[in-house]
Amino acid sequence: MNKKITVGSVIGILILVFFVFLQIFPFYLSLVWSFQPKSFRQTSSLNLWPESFNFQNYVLAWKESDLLRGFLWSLIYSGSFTFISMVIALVCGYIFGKKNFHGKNILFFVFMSALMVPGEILLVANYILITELGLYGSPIAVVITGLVNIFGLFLFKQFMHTIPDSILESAVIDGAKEITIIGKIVLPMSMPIVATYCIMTFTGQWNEYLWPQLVLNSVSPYDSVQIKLILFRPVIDGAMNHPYAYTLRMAATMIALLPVIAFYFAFQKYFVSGISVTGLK
Amino acid sequence: MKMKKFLKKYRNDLTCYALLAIPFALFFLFFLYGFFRGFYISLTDFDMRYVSSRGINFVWFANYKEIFSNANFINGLKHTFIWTVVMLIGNNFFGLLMAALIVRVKRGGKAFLALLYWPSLVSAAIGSQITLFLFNPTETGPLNIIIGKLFNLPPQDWFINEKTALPSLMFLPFFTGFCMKMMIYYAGLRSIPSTYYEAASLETDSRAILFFRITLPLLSPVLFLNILLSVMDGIKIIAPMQLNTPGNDYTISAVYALYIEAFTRTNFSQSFAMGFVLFVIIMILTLIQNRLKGEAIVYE
Repeated sequence: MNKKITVGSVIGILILVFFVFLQIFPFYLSLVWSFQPKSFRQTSSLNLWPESFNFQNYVLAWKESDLLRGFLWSLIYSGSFTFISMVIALVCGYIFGKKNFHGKNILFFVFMSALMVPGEILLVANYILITELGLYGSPIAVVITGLVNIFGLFLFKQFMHTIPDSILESAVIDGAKEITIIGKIVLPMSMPIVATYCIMTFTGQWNEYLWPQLVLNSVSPYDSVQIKLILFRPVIDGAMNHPYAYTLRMAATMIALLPVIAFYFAFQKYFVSGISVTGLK
Repeated sequence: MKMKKFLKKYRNDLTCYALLAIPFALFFLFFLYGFFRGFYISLTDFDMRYVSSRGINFVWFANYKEIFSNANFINGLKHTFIWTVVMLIGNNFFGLLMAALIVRVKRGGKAFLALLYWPSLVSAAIGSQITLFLFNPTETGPLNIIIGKLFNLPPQDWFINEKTALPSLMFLPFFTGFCMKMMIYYAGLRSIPSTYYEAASLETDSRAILFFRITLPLLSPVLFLNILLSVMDGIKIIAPMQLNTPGNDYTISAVYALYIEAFTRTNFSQSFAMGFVLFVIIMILTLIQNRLKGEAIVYE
């Protein structure tokens, strides 16, 4: 009995290790390739180790792809989007979760019905609207359309149950204004959900490419890092398919990947708790 | 005097409305207005270039009729269907497998969870660069070298060939796109009390019986959630097609067809018609799912 479990669990761990390997392998190959010298030609066998570590590939890719500007704009987009949409979701969640007013249920139903609307319809509709508003090509257009995060609003409303009414009532008796109550009581008490929401929204917005690419000009000074990476197609000796062009592309890709990986391992526990909040509630 | 009384009586309501005003305005503009205007445009001959000269005229359901003779949309629906079914099977199978294996790991299970989940944070742009590198159609492409070594096959032109284009696109997401599903299955498996297994182990020794009689029924709400998520993600698929194989007829998806209709051909009314066809499909699937879910949850 005891031995059978051991054999089974060893096989289980081997399968897990195999999938960990399977997920890393494409990235590993790209990493190897990103270091290859310009003269390198891969022909008959797969190179699992670079001929030499050419860090100048990275310097060249960094310069040519203009990723620095992309990173800065991505930070601006993701940071402002996360902050404003969090405030909106928190305020709305608090009002729908804790307050009573005329028309509350109807209004809440109207908000929630948006969960059914597929994003593709809104993608085209909002593109037309943004153009008509004269916001086409402006960085505001990148963030403004999704600021009301219906799912976030729902999450915050659900979370309000954990805040006792008595605390809010005593604040009202003390004469606190709604803004003060939200800032001084509701926000600090919602910190677990705020952290999870912010981290998930930040990464979601960071990885977004479709909408930003649509509302910015094809090569815009406001391009995010994702767009910079998509548009990065270096031409070497007149050829886009030149092996060294791939080397530079992989170097740029690795640069873009690095902060994501660092962010993931720094905030890993929030991603796990985020799933249990968003997935099972 | 009257004003003061009114203010006092409705003070609470007014505060709430004031705080909701900006969110509602944004919501109205970018959700409600967009949705209803999209439907209106889908019934007209709206064309951004001629709105001032020709105006907007109702053509009713002509756009809806026309999109079903649009090759892009028909191919797109077909490929979207294939993509959704394949990803539904692959991601849920591997996701459940990984979650079930991790739950049984006594020490360090969390580490596996972390090591298997990170690819979900890799953006479509990064994924596309890496996919294009791996599937490089020349003889120096990594995948061409691998198949040459393993199966002695000549270099393939993956995305360009009608037969291999869609399978090539699905290859990596099929095997590695299980991250999110794995997390949800893991949370679901963890919520099953171990006392159930202890009680059942007095009756049977078979893992298979335990899995099919206890795990699967208790997991059915999670299973339904994951299937719904897979279907919703599948219907929306555009990124791999748009980034890896732009304008390729062999891989075009329904949403990519909609995208091309709107932004390459500036045919907004037909693109909205496609959007509303997808909307109806999503609604029907959600209704079916709700019916099935109602029957499946009796175990709880």
